[in-house]
Amino acid sequence: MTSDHRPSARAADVSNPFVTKTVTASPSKLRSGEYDSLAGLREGMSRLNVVDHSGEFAMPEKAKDNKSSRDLDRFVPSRPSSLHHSSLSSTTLSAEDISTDTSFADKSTSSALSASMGLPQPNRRILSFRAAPPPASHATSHLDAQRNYLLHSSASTNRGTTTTGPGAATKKRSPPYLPERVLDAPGFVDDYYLSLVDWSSSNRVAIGLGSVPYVWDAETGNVMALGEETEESSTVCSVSWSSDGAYLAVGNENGEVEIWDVEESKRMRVMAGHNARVPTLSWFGHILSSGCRDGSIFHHDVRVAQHKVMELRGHAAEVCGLKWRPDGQLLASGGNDNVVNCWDSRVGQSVLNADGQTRVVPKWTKRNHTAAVKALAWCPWQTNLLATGGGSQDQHIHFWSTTTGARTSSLAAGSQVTSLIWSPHSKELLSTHGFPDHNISLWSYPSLQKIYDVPAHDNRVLASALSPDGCTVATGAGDENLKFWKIWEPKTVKKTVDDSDRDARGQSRGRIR
Amino acid sequence: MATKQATRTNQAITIKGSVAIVTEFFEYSVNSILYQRGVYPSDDFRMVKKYGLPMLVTSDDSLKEYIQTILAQVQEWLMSSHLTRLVLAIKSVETDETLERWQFDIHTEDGPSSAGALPGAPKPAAKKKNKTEKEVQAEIQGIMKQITSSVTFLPILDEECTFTILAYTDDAPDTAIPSTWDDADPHLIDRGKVEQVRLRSFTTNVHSLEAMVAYRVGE
Repeated sequence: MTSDHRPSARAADVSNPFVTKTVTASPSKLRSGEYDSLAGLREGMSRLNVVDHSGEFAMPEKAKDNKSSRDLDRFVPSRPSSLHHSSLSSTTLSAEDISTDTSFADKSTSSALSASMGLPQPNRRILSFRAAPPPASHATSHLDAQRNYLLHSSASTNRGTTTTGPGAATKKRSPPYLPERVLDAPGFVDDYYLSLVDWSSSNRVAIGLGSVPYVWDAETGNVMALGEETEESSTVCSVSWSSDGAYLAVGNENGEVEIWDVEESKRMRVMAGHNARVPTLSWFGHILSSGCRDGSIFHHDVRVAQHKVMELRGHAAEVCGLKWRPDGQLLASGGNDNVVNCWDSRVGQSVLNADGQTRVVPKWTKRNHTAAVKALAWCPWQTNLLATGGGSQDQHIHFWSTTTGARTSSLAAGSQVTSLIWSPHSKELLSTHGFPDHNISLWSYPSLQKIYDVPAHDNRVLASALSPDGCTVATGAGDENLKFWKIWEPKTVKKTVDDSDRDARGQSRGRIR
Repeated sequence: MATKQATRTNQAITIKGSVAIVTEFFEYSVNSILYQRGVYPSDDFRMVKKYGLPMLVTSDDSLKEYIQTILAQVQEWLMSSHLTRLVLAIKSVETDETLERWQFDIHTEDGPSSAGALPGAPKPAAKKKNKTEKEVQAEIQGIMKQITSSVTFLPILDEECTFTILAYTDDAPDTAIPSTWDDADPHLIDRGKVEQVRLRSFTTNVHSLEAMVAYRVGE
């Protein structure tokens, strides 16, 4: 077969003024090798090549190198003309003008065409699109390997949920146009990075106003100030309840973290260490994690004198979102450097004992957001699902499978995302927004369809907290109001409405879960 | 019904249709390469059926938009027969060195620019005149398969990579170049380290396209 092509290829080449001489230089090779292997042909070709362009660059040993590697290549299509081309251009294409020359000198079948098209036109332009392509969000490399294993098992199940029943949760619900209650919050600092509202499991709402944290008891309506405003007291930047609801952690402008016993209204301890303000806190058991403006995250063991047990450095700018997964295995953090990190709590513990200060690497890092990431929420009914929302330049909510580090879906929220709350009972997600809409939105998951929007505040909604019964959401906004919204109905038993169920519904509002 | 179907498939391809085919080919091949070479994480891609093959296209909106913006311009240049080559260069983020260079040479056969460019050159063979869309799709399928299979011999890209798309245009004065495009470096790979493999080609009645991949080999 191939031998049939050879004479025709030759004949075509002869018409080319560059090649005529060299053809006569190697007729013996050609004639004797009428049935030669392809290698023979290639050798002839590469010799042609060398003689051909000897004026420009004569590198016989280079040509040989290329030829030998060519012989090993099984992927070269078996068209003789293309073989010719590749053996030629492998040495030549490195310089652009030469490459156009090549396309001129080869190509038996379409030589005329390439001559007309590929002939060096006086000024050929190479253009590229000015903007750089969007950056890829790669997980860390060891995770890439893990992910390849897991992709088929867990990611496919995640994807499965994304596609199932898109119309299921989209039935119209009337939004709560009016809040259940509005509390005045004078001195509520209008700063996106702070987290100043939290609702405890003992049904108390903590809010930081100026330099004093206040606690509002949702059952009695009593308000209690923790401490007094003095000259040296510094602005409250974050409040967070411990999981039992007995202690309130307060992060300050000056970098101190205070622990308050709310029952006694007494400051238990002050934990110094951060050298800038602490805009976010998260508890897991007796570990209190604090994110700092300088990008560091500390784990404090609140029981021991040497409270700082770990330092995580994974952010180049202020850490403004920090959330432990309820089971304490993973910690998600978001920062003003647009990064979402996920930390494995097990990593680094043993290493730490060796030299005290270690550098812990996050389990994975995501750079998909294009603005600060403050809103983080772990899904209560799918442990590996994390939702993150970006700031005013980004306006997206991303959903991550934390086991694989894969992004399972994304949602364009159309407005700065300031906080996210998953419904504990239904497959829904609440997001609160800042510029430009100042609304709160309810989304169904996994169909990601909007159930409703509520224009909640006159200024951007900065923080939100869920009541312990999972029905009411408190939102604090720049308009110095704390509003309470009835978002979800209490969880009901669907099958039968018997007495016990009615009881449960009756008292669910104030119940402690 | 059946006759209508038959006439449709037998229809010859016009220049407009050919441009659409070539642009679509670029879209899918760029997506496929970005997926196969891991320039973007595989989670960002979803599978669609195309050319009788499962093809992966990105579901990342920003990347989708980026590619679409480029291809819209490419399509315009194809329509006016100014585009002669499209190159997808994969380069290292860290060193900015080109690691792979996917090159697609485009020849416009009946385009106004080739007409009378070289009077001495014989006319391209007119034998392929009545190629149907189906035949073209089959040829494209061949290239796509090769792109997919090229993963087996291309060196592993173990560093973080990004890509650039280069368009080679002729310098005809009527070539409109939008301000978003700029003259660029050809992104060639160092001569001593380069290895290349020519892929299949496909032709419509108007365009013929040849694909090639050049890649850097380790020392």
